[in-house]
Amino acid sequence: MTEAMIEPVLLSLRLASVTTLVLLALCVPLGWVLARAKGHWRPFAEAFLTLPLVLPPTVLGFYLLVLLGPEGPFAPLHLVFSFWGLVVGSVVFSLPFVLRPIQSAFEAIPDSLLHSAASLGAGPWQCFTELAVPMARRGIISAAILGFAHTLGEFGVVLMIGGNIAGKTRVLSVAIFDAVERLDYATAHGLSLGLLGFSFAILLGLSWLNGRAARP
Amino acid sequence: MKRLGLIALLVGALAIIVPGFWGRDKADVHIAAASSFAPFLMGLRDDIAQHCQISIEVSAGSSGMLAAQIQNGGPFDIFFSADDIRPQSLIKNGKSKHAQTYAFGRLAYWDTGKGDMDTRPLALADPKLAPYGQASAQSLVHLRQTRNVPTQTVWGRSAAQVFQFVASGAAQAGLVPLSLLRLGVIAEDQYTLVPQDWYSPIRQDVVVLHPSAGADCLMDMVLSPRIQAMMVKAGFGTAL
Repeated sequence: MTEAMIEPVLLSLRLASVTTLVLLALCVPLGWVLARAKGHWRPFAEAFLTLPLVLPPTVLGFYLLVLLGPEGPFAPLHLVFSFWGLVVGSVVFSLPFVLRPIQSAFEAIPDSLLHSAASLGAGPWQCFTELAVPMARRGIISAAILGFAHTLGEFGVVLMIGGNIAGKTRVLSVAIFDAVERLDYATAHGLSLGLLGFSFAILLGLSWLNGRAARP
Repeated sequence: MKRLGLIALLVGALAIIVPGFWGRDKADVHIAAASSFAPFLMGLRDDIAQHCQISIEVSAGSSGMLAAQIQNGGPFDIFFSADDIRPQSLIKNGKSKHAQTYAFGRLAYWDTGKGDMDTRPLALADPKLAPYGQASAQSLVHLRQTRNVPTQTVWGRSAAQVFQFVASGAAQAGLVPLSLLRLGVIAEDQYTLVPQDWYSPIRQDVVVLHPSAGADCLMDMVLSPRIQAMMVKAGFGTAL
């Protein structure tokens, strides 16, 4: 392993970790709100939040590039071609994968249980933190696993808004593509094997954690 | 136990996140280069460092994607395109003063000689997407008149993809840039050069986006007879 090979690996890990944490912070409250919402707006919100699945990654990446670029509305944030731009792109792209399992987990909690808790004097905040989140933990962990894995393998968005810059935005998937385009198959195979092996280890570890969390 | 696992996970995540930006911006000149030309540039890295006293960073991609990125603030100083259309549009949009031709693309017909002409297709670069595409489409007309080529065609979105179609055996034959065949060390008896009067010249232009002494030196160097001779060996037509 040379520096040129290790750097994309570490960068991908950072991106996937940061993205997963941001997604959890967003999707746990959002999933809770959606699961409990009764209004007519709910189907609209759900459909809207699933849209990132519809657009092909490079197309989504192109629109993010235009939105975040110097002529777009988010230009002052200087996100494009930076690590944090990749975080924004990955959060958008992986959002449905994290939101859906969390929302389903919250929906599976019976209303009666929440009513009982409320009648015993628990406030909405207490219901959320002490009842709903612990009960939905399996769904939340699954969601984190999906978000992490999906971000590790993400390619189209990251290539478009990242710009393939070594040490900043050349993540693993982009580095593999880059090597293939250069006909440098040895590097491509090495990186791909590394990605598969490492992802397997992480997913295995998380599944093990999930199994433990399932036990009461 | 559960808590321990979660804590371990969090610590692990933080250990990855915190060391943070080694955001090395150590390169003096940042180059965006078409995938077909990037390997050649990377091979020149030491030469450039010695001759111009600058370090370079090369970001490879398709010419169309790189142009879109430059249009939207991509942090590149020089852009080596695989065509002359993207550089022209960047000039029109005020991203650069003028373009310079640094090489001409050369097409070759690569026939693996395996399989039969009716079942496995001929691979070509898409004229709408790839810089080599239009020349490929023009050459195909002549090619069909002079030799037996596969009846079906598949279109790759880049020259590199066409190369992969043929290399993998999915396509029987293909029209590919000579530079890729040289880079992939393909045996010379497997391909023939397409006569240059079969297609309009594939002019490959370069634009300087952020002028500097280092960028000037690099441009002079790329257009020098010595480097141009190296380019010819790598499968490009000289711009001199």
